[in-house]
Amino acid sequence: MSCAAAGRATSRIFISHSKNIFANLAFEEFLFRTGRHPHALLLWSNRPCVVIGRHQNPWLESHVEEIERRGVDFARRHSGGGTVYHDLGNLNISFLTPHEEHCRTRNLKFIVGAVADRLGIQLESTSRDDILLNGKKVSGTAARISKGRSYHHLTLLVDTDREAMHTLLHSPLEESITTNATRSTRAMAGVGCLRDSQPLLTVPRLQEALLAAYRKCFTECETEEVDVDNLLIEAPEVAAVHDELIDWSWRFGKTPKFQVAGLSVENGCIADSPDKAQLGHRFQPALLRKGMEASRAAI
Amino acid sequence: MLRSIAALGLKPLSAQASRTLIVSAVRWLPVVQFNLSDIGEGIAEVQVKEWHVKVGDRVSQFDNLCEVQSDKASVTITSRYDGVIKKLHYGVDDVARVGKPLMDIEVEGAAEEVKQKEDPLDAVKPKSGKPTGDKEAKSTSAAHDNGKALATPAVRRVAIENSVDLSKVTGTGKDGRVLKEDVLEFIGHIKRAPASHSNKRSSPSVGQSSGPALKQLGEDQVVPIRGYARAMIKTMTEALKIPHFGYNDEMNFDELVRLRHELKEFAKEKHIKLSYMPFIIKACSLGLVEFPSLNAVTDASMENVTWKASHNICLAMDTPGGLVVPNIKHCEQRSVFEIAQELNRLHEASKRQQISRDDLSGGTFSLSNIGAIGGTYASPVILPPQVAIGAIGKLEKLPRFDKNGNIYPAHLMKFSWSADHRVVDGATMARFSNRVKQYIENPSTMLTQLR
Repeated sequence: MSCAAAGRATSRIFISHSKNIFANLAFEEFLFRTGRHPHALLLWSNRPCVVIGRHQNPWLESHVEEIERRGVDFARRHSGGGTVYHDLGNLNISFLTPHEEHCRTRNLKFIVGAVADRLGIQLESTSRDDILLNGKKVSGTAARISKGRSYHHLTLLVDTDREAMHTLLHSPLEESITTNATRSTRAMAGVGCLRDSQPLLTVPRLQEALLAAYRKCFTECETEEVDVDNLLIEAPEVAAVHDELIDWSWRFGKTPKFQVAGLSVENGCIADSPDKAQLGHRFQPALLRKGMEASRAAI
Repeated sequence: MLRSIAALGLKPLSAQASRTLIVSAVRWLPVVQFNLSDIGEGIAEVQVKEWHVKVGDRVSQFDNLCEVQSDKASVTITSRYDGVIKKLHYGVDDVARVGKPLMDIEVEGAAEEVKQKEDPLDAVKPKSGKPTGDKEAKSTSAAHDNGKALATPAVRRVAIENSVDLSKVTGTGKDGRVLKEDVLEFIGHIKRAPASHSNKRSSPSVGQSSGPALKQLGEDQVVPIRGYARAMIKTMTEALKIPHFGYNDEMNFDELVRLRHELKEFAKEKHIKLSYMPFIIKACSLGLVEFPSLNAVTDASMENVTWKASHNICLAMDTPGGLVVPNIKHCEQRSVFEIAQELNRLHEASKRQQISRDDLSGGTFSLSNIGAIGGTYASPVILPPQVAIGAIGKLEKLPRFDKNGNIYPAHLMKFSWSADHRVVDGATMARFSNRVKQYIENPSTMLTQLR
């Protein structure tokens, strides 16, 4: 199945060599903001990381302490949607377009078509913008729109560490937190990966298939391999976005206000607490255990 | 057409009416209801997630107002107007409806009623004060009549920040108005799809000869010269006393490109980010060993020139606070990797504006990597009391002849040297440049200088 808008003039493919989620998100945001290429496709993979959506709560969506303990990266992206875990067995795909041409359904149908035609794997896209393989979720989608530009990005799991995903995306505080932050929707039938259907599939092979199909949609499409890690040194604009993304006040401070165990937390810091000494301090799950110990001691 | 005060629902203030429940004084600026624009995809409502502004804030066109979310999409809503925010119709977590008012904003810059159209600043008050019969009928050529381009304050700001002369930019907005996209396209930042509506409207001329008067829409902004900028003024005024001569040459980077690629793994192992600059700096230092008169400083009375033993090579750095020029000490004693490390340290420090006094003093020779931003040949200005400086253009791939006479794509960088002609002659500069060129084009010759 060719993409619905075949014959569109030009696009540009960027393949990032960086395995660093912050560098890659910074590069994507940079391409999005500077908009030199109206149409672009960006592909990348990262070493293990957990990525939450723009308006989500890290402590609600994931096991923050375990993530830190394992040295897994934790990032907040600019787009909406839910929380994902991905590692090098995952391919991230980002479609950058002008706002008027933003169409997630079309992009997902394109991927389903390309994977069916070239790899013989039958996927299906859903109305929730997920991609399923035999009913199991193999892809999550998110999008960002601003100033006439947009991007739609998604994960596509070839293979993944299911234990890590299950452990890191379950928060011990799930039941205790009250908030209006966007909550992730758990995949109904569970999570799968493309290797469930084709055990020998690799990320490079998947990438190759998608790129070949993508190029057919444009009369002119150049491919650029980008050393994004190096770009962080040479391009101050990309470095600036990167620095924003790794900052605590973005990753944790941008959390919509919430209540947990008698504490009220705003901008990641304690705004109200029975123990006034805690006010203004950054929220940490460890504080809750101390609180419990204190109350036990009081008894 | 001006609305009467009564039509706006306000009571005029009188001397006695000291207590009034109505907060606003007599205002002639209209308050516009800014609707939540169509987000596309048939979406009718979104959830407001974060406000970037509050009531009373002054905003400019294109400023970020808030973040809204619709299912998986996070959307940033930007302002269509310049003005002051009077009311926000939703709070965080409320559901906002597309097409309904998002906020009320008191629009600046137009004393007449502003209609809710694509281009909000349609009306410009005619000079004579008579309302023209049809507001739309204006002389389009008047847009550039008195040499001043028609643009909103926000667009002017973008133009000033990028040193763009607005009168040189083609406006594609109504009446030839210059839009922000026009300025950005002019700088080369974006390529626009062809405009869906025609740029200029030919209109029947009504009282054509004078046309509408153009008032200054924004305020002049006085920028005090502080910090690094003050030092720049002092240094550059001194530099003007130096008779500069320039010497330019093109250098072939094919070998260095290959070498840098080969060294990638080794550099990674040593945790060093390796660009071309350390090689260039080292090559210059090796050149200065042979031509020490270029690594020199003059004294105020021009009695003596001191050839400095240490090659403290200055690098121009663009920081948030302006141009700063720290130097790497003793380049003649440092390896390429050590120079790379120093360079990284200075880059990091300059980003945080934490360059030390020691880093800034004692420089003996300067380089400016303007090519990191762009450009080929340049005309650098010497930093007194030094006697020479080099500007490095961007790395380009251009067709050149190889040794067999065939055309191939060569990696090239252009070097532009300037030197103090009171104490340096052209032949010395040329020979120095040739030597640096030799080291750069044949990096193996640098090997022979290892101790």
